[in-house]
Amino acid sequence: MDLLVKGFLSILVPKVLLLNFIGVGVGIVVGALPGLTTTMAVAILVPLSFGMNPVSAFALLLGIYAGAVYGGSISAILIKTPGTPAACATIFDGYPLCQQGKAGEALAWATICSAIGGCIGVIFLIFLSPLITKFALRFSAPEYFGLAVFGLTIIISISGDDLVKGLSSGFLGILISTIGLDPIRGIPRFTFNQIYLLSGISLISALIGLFAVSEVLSVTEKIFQQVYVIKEKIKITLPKWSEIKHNGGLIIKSGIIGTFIGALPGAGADIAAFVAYNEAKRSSKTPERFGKGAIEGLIAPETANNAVTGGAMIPLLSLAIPGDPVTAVLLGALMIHGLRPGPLLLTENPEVVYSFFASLFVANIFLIFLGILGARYFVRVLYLSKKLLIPIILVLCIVGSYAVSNNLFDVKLTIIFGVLGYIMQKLNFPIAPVVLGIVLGPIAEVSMRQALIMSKGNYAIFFIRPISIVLLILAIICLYISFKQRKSKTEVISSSQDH
Amino acid sequence: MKKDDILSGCSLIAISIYFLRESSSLPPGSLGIPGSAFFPRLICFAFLIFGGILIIRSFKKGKVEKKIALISKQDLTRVLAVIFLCVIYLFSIPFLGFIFTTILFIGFLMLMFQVKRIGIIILWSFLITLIICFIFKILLKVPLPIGTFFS
Repeated sequence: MDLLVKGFLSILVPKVLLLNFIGVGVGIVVGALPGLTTTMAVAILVPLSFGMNPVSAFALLLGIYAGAVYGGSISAILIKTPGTPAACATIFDGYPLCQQGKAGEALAWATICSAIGGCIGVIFLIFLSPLITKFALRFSAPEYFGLAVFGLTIIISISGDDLVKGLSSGFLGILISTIGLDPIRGIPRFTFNQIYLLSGISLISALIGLFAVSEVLSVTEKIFQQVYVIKEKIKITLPKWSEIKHNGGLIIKSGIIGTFIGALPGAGADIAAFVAYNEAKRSSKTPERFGKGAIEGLIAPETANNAVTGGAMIPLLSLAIPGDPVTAVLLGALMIHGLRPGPLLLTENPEVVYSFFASLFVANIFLIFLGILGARYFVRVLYLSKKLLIPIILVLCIVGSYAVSNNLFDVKLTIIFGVLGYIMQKLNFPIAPVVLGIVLGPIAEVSMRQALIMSKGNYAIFFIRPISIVLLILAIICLYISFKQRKSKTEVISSSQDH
Repeated sequence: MKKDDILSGCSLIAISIYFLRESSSLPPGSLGIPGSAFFPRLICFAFLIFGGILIIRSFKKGKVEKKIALISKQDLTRVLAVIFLCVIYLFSIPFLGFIFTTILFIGFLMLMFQVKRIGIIILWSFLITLIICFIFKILLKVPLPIGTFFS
């Protein structure tokens, strides 16, 4: 409790609060713009946060995270185009509400539910992270190997529809992670006589290239196609307290669903929103209203997708396992700020970690103010021309990757990763597993080789230690759950399309 | 026949063969105590399997021949032009410096995107460059390249 108070006190300074506020605003704008992703925004702004202390940097980045997940609902409600995948389920009832002339009401509900969902996620994050960390402190090499395998199973759950291509993406990431000095024997591997590659591939170059430059190239393809027209006049109508109270149970239930799905590595905000929508429809006394503008059909996905932000931070901060692409970028940000992700993070830097909890919580409070007061203005970002935005994003990608270590070699890598990401998208390879491979590959390799040295070459070491075997079993359970979730998501989509 | 699967499969096999060849100079170690080459080779073998699966799958599915018509020629040309501009920009920075090249880069990008008003192109190029310079050079103290031509 003491640490939590310290965490809140550390962010209650004007500079940090301002950064958090700006982050939420930028996040909403990026989230609202179809084609620009949350991951892209966070990846581009990581170098910008490089000169800040970790508390300020994460106040900015977490603000973007919370803002962008919510921002996706603006375009989902108004133009039937989700700004982010997290807002896909919001369309089902959000857009019909807009067609009925209730756009303002829908936006107000989306804002309030997103903020409450986000806060529910943070509350679970505050209580669960220390518990998991306490358990994870008993880990040594074989357990870390189990943990890395567990983390790598995420690849399967975020592989999209094609498992072989998803696995190939993940393995490509692991192969890329072997570039540089061998972490055990110090022998250079695949460095192509480049001195810069001795320290391995710059994570930030890979992140910016794969998530931002490749997206820019994709948007460039359709740069002349995107013109949005909003016919409805937006007038925010706040729901009455009695209405919020009436839907309180659904809000809390959806928040809990979102948090736990978010905490499952690999299952992101989009899946959480679909599952919460499905559950709201299943438990409703009038399920036939869903898909025709039922407010409950908007409340459930919007609460759940923002609750995911807190949930996804649980495995990230306690085990260094990124649950989705955004948290993979945040993992990179932790490393860039000199913090060692993993179970030791909370014990070595408790005040910093608790400030992250506080930042995410406060970001959700800002969300209400910005969402309610600024909705009319955020809608205008949909008119922003991509022809003016793309040059800014591209220059930010280039300067950002240069700024981390002040060398142009990293920028070359960014462009190479950008082209690689673009080609992968065209050939239907998912990109997020590459990053997971790059992050988890070295952990898997080092811990596996260290464990084998410990056991004098006996592979049984991975199966006789209780935590290690539990982690391997968890990996299997996690796979099973993610398969089930994907099935449920497909069912919800198909049933909603039937309407 | 699914051409994107064939292309993907062949690419994976090519990457695998290349890295297997490169790893031949690394100490392999033993199965019990793996050396530097062990892990990369493990991945390469997985790539060979995945590549093989993709190629076989493309023939199995193969009733209708699909072209990889994922993008029109015009759009592809635009994407390639952006990549080309990025490369030129990157190689010009050490000579012409960040500010000058960035103004030109933004200007050319906007011309490519058919922004018709020259005034907007000039204003936007200068404004964005100045803002980015202010953030990175003044606020974050990043030593942006001045360029050998101007130094």
